[in-house]
Amino acid sequence: MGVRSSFWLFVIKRLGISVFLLWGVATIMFLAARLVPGDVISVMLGEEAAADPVARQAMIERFGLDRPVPEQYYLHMTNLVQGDFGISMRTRGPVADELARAVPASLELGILAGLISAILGIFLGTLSALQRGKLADQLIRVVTVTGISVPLFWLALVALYVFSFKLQMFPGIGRLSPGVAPPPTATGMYTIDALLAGQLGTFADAFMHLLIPGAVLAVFTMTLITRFTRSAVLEVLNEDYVRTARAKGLTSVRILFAHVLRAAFVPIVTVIGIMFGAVLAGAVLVEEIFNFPGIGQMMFRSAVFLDMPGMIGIGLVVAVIYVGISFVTDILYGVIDPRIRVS
Amino acid sequence: MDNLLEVKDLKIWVAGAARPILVVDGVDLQVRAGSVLGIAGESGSGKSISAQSLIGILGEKFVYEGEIRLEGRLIGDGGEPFAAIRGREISMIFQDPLNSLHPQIQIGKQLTEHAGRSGQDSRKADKRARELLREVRIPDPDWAMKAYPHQFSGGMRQRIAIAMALVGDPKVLIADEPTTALDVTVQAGVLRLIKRLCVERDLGVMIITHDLGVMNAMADDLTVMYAGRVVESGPATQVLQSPRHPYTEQLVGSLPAGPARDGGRARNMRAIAGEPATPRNRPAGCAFHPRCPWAEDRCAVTVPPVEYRGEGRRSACLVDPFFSVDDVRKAAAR
Ligand SMILES: Nc1ncnc2c1ncn2[C@@H]1O[C@H](COP(=O)(O)OP(=O)(O)OP(=O)(O)O)[C@@H](O)[C@H]1O
Ligand code: SF4
Ligand SMILES: [Mg+2]
Repeated sequence: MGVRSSFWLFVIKRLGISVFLLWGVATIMFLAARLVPGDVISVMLGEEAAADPVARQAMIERFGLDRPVPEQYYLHMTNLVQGDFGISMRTRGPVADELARAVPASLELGILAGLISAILGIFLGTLSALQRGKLADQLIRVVTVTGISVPLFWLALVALYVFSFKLQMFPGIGRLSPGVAPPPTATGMYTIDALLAGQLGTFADAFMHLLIPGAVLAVFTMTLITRFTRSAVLEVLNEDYVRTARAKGLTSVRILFAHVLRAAFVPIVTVIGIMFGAVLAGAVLVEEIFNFPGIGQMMFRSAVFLDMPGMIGIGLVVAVIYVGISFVTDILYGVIDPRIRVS
Repeated sequence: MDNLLEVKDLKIWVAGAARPILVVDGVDLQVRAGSVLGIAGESGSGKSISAQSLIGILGEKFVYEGEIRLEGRLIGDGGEPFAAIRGREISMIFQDPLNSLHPQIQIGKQLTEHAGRSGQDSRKADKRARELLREVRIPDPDWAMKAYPHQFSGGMRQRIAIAMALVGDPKVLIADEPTTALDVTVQAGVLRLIKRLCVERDLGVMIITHDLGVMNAMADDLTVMYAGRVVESGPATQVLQSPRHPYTEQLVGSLPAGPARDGGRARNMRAIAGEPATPRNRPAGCAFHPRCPWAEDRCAVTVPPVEYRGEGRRSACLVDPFFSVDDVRKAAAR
């Protein structure tokens, strides 16, 4: 009956909330740029360029800085909606262009790290719960404790040194080996674009470049997901409905997959959603160390250069990703837990 | 009448800090087809553990010993594996219907996922699930099949759990306090349903309850447990009317006369004076002796054996204070 339609209502509601959140972030950024001490033009252009009257005038026109604040706000928002984030003080090019290169790069790195950590984390966490107190559980505990305590930059450097320089199993830094041309741009993600163009050699090279930074980035979240999965599974194993499933005569494999993991996924999905912040923080370090031109590196460099337009652009992209992920987790929640849809 | 399910000398140990603790000590149970066996006893007396051991769903930290026979066939250790029995020949429903159904799986799915083994295809299983929902009086089975547990009241969920237990066409249904968690107003309906299924399907029903009023209304036979042992068993009306064991007598004595105004809650077993014995701190000799008004010195030393007391009745008391010459005459006249 109403189960299906109430689900779509739930999706639309969550979508509305997401749009509202993004609008809020953009507004706060608009206000923040005007609250920074000094005049807006020097903040947006940098002291040096602001001294140039031509550049000043261009800036004033672009953002309508001589108009009343509500009108400025309107212009600011329409510019953003049209994808105009202004000119970077650091690259002297449009922020939007740099974002267009950095976002897909980070996306492919982040997706790989996310997959590695989710698959390994859920597997190890479940194994650990089922083997509670036994050898496997203890070994996994050692791994997770280590994973949480090792500093990321150290791990990144060691991995780079061991796998790329000593063992030469993996290429070094960057997105592609020197001499390998980037595939024709479709998504901006080299692995996917290479596959689309049928360039298997390029795909392999791009993938190998992702693997080490992706794995390093995955370590921290993987350990957290392992921990959460373990406790979620242990909790569900004690639930009455698992006992019912056993009393019904289901096989233990079926009970594990159809009943236990299904229920444990609710908390696990939340954790994976929240974990995104940790991946992003890690990406700043890992991308810098592996000279991987993604949003982590762009964020780091924009901050170091005090590049205001760059930071605003990055800030919005991060907000979009955050809001997008929380939207997806909420929807996933609704898909896996029918009780949420109703409320 | 022949026993459908017969349990002899059931002992269950649970892993303890130092060594295993004997929580169930030599329990005998008999369930007849088409009749209800009630199990009564204070909290911790081992009712649930005993019941769960009959389909082998106690966790790894439990070990059992004893003979469990279904229609004469040995099941469990050394016999047919429990996995082949559960849900097919012996089904079980639990106390809390709010938690005993999976919250994220549609009722229809939960009612059919264990039907596959009997060789039914999924359309047949679906049809059968609808029939079962009708049999347990769920309104609008077509809608119910697609709904989730949270869309039903506690009483309805317990009915669904019962339907789920019937999927494999079991011979025995074990109900562990099936109405304790329910609203008093819906308890009677669920109990009537169980009784009806018992008669219509010739099911052997084993029902665990704290509510002696329920026992009185439902049970054909009654087994009373204390600290992991059986202290008395026999036809329910006789055991309730003229108990032979001091513990049963105290339980029954706590029943207020007449129908209880709150619909049954007050008829729950009243606390008997003294500390209830648990299997963990079971007193030597007769476990009931610290609380027993009839206790003699020997009660603290000798474990009373379960003895035949005529007319299908048994009790485990050294003193047997409610022995009456009338009973002997009646028995002799047969
Ligand atoms: N998971 C467990 N771990 C250790 N000991 C347990 C466990 N479950 C039960 N026991 C022990 O077994 C004894 C019997 O428990 P059981 O649950 O069978 O009691 P019960 O008669 O069903 O009581 P209630 O009326 O409260 O349901 C308890 O006294 C307890 O000491
Ligand atoms: S054996 Fe003794 S203590 Fe136990 S019930 Fe009988 S009289 Fe009471
Ligand atoms: Mg119990």
